[in-house]
Amino acid sequence: MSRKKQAKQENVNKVKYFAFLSVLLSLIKKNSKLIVRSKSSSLIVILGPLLIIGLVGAAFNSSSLYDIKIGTYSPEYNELTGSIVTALEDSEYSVEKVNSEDSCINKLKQGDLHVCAVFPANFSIGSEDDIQFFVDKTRMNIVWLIIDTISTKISGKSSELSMEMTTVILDALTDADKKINDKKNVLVGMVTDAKATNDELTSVNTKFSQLDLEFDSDELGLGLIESRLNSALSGSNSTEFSGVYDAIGQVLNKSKNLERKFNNASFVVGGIVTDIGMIQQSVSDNVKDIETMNSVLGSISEKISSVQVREADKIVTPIGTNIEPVVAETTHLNNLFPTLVVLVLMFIALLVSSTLVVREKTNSAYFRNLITPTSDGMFLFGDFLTNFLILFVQVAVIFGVATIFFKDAIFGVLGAALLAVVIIATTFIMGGLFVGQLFKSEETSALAAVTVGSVLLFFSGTLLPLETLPIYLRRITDFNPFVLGEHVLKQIMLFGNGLGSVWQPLLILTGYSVVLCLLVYGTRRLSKAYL
Amino acid sequence: MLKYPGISKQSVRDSFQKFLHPYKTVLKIPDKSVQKEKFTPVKETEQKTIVLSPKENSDRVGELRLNGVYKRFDRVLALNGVDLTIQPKKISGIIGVSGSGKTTLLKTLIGFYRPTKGNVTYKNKELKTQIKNIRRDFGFATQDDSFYGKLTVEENLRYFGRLYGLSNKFLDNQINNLLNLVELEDARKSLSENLSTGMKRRLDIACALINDPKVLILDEPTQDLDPALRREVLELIKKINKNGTTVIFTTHLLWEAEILCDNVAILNEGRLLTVGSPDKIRKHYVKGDEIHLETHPGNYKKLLNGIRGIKVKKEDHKVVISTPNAKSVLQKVLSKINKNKERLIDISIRKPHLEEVFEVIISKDVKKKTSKARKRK
Repeated sequence: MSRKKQAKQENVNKVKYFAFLSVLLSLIKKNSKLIVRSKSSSLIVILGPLLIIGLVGAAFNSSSLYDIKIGTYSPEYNELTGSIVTALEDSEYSVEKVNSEDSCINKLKQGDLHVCAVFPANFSIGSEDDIQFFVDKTRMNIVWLIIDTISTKISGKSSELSMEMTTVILDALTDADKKINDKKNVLVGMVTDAKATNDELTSVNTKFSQLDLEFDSDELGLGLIESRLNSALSGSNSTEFSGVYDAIGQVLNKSKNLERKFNNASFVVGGIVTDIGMIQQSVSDNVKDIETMNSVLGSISEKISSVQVREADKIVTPIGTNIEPVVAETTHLNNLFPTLVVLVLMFIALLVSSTLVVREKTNSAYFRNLITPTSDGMFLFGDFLTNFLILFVQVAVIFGVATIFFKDAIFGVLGAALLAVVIIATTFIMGGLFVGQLFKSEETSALAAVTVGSVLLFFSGTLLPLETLPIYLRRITDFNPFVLGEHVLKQIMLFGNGLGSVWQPLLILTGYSVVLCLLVYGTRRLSKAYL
Repeated sequence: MLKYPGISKQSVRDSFQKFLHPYKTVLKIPDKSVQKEKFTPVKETEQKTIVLSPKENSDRVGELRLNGVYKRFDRVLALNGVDLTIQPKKISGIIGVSGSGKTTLLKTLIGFYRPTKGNVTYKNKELKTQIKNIRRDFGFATQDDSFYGKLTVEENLRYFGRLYGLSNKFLDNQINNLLNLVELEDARKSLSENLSTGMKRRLDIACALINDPKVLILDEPTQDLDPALRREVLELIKKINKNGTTVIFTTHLLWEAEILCDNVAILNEGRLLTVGSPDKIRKHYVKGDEIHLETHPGNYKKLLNGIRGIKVKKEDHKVVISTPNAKSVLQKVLSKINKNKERLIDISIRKPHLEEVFEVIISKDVKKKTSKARKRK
């Protein structure tokens, strides 16, 4: 190609490029003017995000739950129920004492109360009846939070009571241990004394055993004397012998009596020895018992001593839990900010872009656009850029306002966040353009845009926890552009992760944009045939 | 750059007095009746289109043609085998009742609709193959005001000019010329939605002219306008055509076509029934002239008694006498007026209006269709 031709071609390309830019700029200027000069549109576009961010900022810039109304009913309030109610009141919840259980439940149904606590009559520690809590599960977005909060409060009170009781038990144990240790010497003394007594008894028993109470009157020979006297007497009639004989007879009788007495004494001594033996046995047994008791008390004392945890709070809550947030603990707004940004992006993009398309379609000037040499692609690109600029301004406003709340935290991630915002915004703009292409009136398109936005929001986990959905639906919601966008911004803005960690959702969002762009182009071409 | 020669306001007013009150045109035959070309019918589609236009010359540069064009929307056949050649630098009117397919025809002409069957050629090139380039030669004004109400007059013109890829320099000149042409210089910075109805219509036409088109297509440009505004618009169309721009417009007001168009195409239910100049069509379908007579006390039976070869139609206080020999009948009527001592209030000879011709054409078409349907049964 000659130089001249090359220069000419370059000139042509340059002209084409500038013509392209000129047309694009003209489209954007026209669209922007139409929006700005329409009061309602400009109100939505300019004030909408400011209003949302302002309201949300003011509303969620705290970390507490406010104005949770708790209804309580008890047939008879006592100290315990009173203390629970006081504990709840202390937590900035407003507690209302209701006259009956039914009334409490009705108030809950009507939304006047968030939770209703019914205490059993004569509620006391160890009472078999439990406190009944009634909650309105239709208020799914808050019910779990309330249940959790109330449970925490009640379990706090319960722990407090447990602490008191545990302290009493611990004190009793400590006291018992002390007393066991104190009285251990007494037991040892008792054993020693008992053993000494036993020894004494053994000695007494020995002494008794050594007593010889054997007595045989025959051994006195009185019987022999008597028989000889008898034989002597039979030969002589001497009165004097008779008298001796009688006297001997009397001695004999008396010796017999003595023998009986000795026998009795021996028998008694035998009994005493036996008794002493039994006493000894008993004393031995006692000693053993005391020793066993001593051993048992020693073991108890040892066990009491071996209890290492002596603090009541440790016993009541042996496992301490401390929930640490993965992001710096600030306010609800911090955690909500990525969601808020995606929410604004989604609704404004869907509404503004669909409105822009429908307004263009229903404008009598639309047809004139279509019969110019400007291509459909150019119009589509112009519409997209217009919406994108509007969103960009809004995001700038949001981020600008956000710096007031988050100070410097936002600057570090601004680049990555903005790039993510561009991709997210593109997806929703394309969605809005598609909705606009599908509908013929501004009302229906706005309704459709709001519906689409609401469905995406509903299945995003912002309103309801996604965990309440069946697994197959949850899998689908993983591909929800709102969920993807929120995930990306959370990763970047809250966890400080780079774009590298969120390339997958960003890729999916880009894929959505491409598909939606093709759909918008196709429907635009199709709708022309019926104009 | 556009150059529109100035026309004196008086001459325009005179000519539009004529346009607005055609029934009062006394003893004058419109100049356009002078047509010397031969007329030949074209091929048959379902029914014959009577072509009363100059003989076709397919080599003619700038010619816009529809060749056997059918356009179907689902079950509705909007165009049924239309063959039409638009003469360059002339004003062509497409006439038809609402729903006859006029707008579809225009949109097909500019390539917005692709024919279901048949084709459209411009400068001997098929339209669909070079649609982008060809569109630069066309300007189109719809029935509605095809501009943005929230943009100013100048912004609208500049925006549409940009869509044609026009340069700033060209646009500056073109906008000035157009604002001058449509007399909207003072409203240049006004929001278009704040303009009056007539100004809006003029702006609409200006928007259609922003790309300096060779062919200007106007879809019912005088619809919903009062007589004065209608006059303004018709004047504007004439001005534009005088610069050499081919103008195609649709209307259901037949007198507009009659006074403005070089050629007229009559469309009914998607079929082109006839094409030609208004006079030729009139001559083809209705023989003779009409004498409009009003006398006092108006004893018309007595006046017209014994005059042969006339058809009489009474309209309020006057009668319309149709005759192939108007001069002789007129003489007879005038002598009878004198004889009967009637006081002459008004008398005029004129050609039958296109409206009447239109009625004839449509009724013939309806009759043909009915007889065909009977035959089929």
